[in-house]
Amino acid sequence: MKNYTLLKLLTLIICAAGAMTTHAQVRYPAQLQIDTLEPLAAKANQVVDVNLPESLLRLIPIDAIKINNDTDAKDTNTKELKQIIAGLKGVYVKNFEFINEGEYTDADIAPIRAQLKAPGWARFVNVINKREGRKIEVYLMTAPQGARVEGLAILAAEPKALTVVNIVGIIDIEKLSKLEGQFGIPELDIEADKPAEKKPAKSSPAVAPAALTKKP
Amino acid sequence: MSDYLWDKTGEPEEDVARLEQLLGTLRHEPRPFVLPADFSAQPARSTFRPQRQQQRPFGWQRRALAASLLLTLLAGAWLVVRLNQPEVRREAAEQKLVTPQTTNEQTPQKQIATVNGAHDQPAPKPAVTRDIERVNYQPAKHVSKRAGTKARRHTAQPVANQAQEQIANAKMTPEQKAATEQLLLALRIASAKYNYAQREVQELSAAHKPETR
Repeated sequence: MKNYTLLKLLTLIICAAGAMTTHAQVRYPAQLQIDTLEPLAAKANQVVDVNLPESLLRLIPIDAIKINNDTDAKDTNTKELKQIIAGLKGVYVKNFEFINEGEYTDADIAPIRAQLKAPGWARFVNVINKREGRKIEVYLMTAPQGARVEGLAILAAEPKALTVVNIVGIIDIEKLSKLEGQFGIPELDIEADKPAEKKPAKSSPAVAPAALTKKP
Repeated sequence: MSDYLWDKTGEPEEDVARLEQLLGTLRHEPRPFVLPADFSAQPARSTFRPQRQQQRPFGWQRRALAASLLLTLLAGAWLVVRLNQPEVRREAAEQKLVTPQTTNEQTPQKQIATVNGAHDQPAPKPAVTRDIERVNYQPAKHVSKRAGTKARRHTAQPVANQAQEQIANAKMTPEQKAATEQLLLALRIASAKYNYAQREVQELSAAHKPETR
């Protein structure tokens, strides 16, 4: 009888220790492992590395955020920004800008693409602009019920820049889209000047609805 | 020859009678089974397992294992409780949010604005804002003809400064400010990349409309 008591005690301790370990290492399914891009920092001319796990996001006093240019009496913009932040569980961005082209290869992004093939992730948009050498992929992770987006990943590969964005948590992509140029978040000049003689009719997008390719 | 050996009838022979007398003492006598007064089950078991140590091999090793697991559990519990304390969390956040600045010594021509990079040296906190500002993309130089309603573009810097001022004016601790700035930077990049993809899709779908008619 005493043998069984000791065995039960040991099993209980092991289970409790395992549960505590699991609790200490909470990892959301939508969270990507993007540390594999770290070696590119040595080649890059400019690096932006934002790492905001849930513990740091909790530090942000949402109530204290107010948009100066929010002229609406009801502070609609501020409310929307707060709603976005409230649903976030983690924000991770890695942006590398290089002096020369070809500083990174597809092999550098392959580990991230492999993670995005996991169940739950779906490629929402895939834009390939061959003339400018840009490729932007937007992936969404939806809840099992499919009612809401629980994760967002953006892979933007440009000739001299590489950007990986991973947002974990409930996020409204329409509200995210509105952020540029609003809420004190300026629009970025990522839309390059295009020649006037460009004939968009000749561009041939990929057949898949989620993939559009722009050829020169 | 009599039938004495067969059915005990008749006269027994001398040899038979003598043997019967000699062996008769060993004859079976039915009587109830009575246990001896000093009999107990425990000594009987101990004959097979004379010592308790043999019954439980590795006895002290088991206790040592249980004790080590218990200690591990207690240490883990203490660690979790300690990490969840607000002061410790704040300290950890401060350490994480300190911005590296000394990369110029290693790569003079490069400007690495790693906000949270583990591969760089930490620097004073005010550098956070400066480095994030340095990361700003170029302001819009050209308003695309196809932008249409998006032609209301404005330069990035004043609005960014407005946001920075707003953050600076808010009653936040330095780590809260840094976290907020990082979040705005991340959202800025995410929104810009997403919108670029969206614009490309819209442009191509608009270009294909006449063909489908």
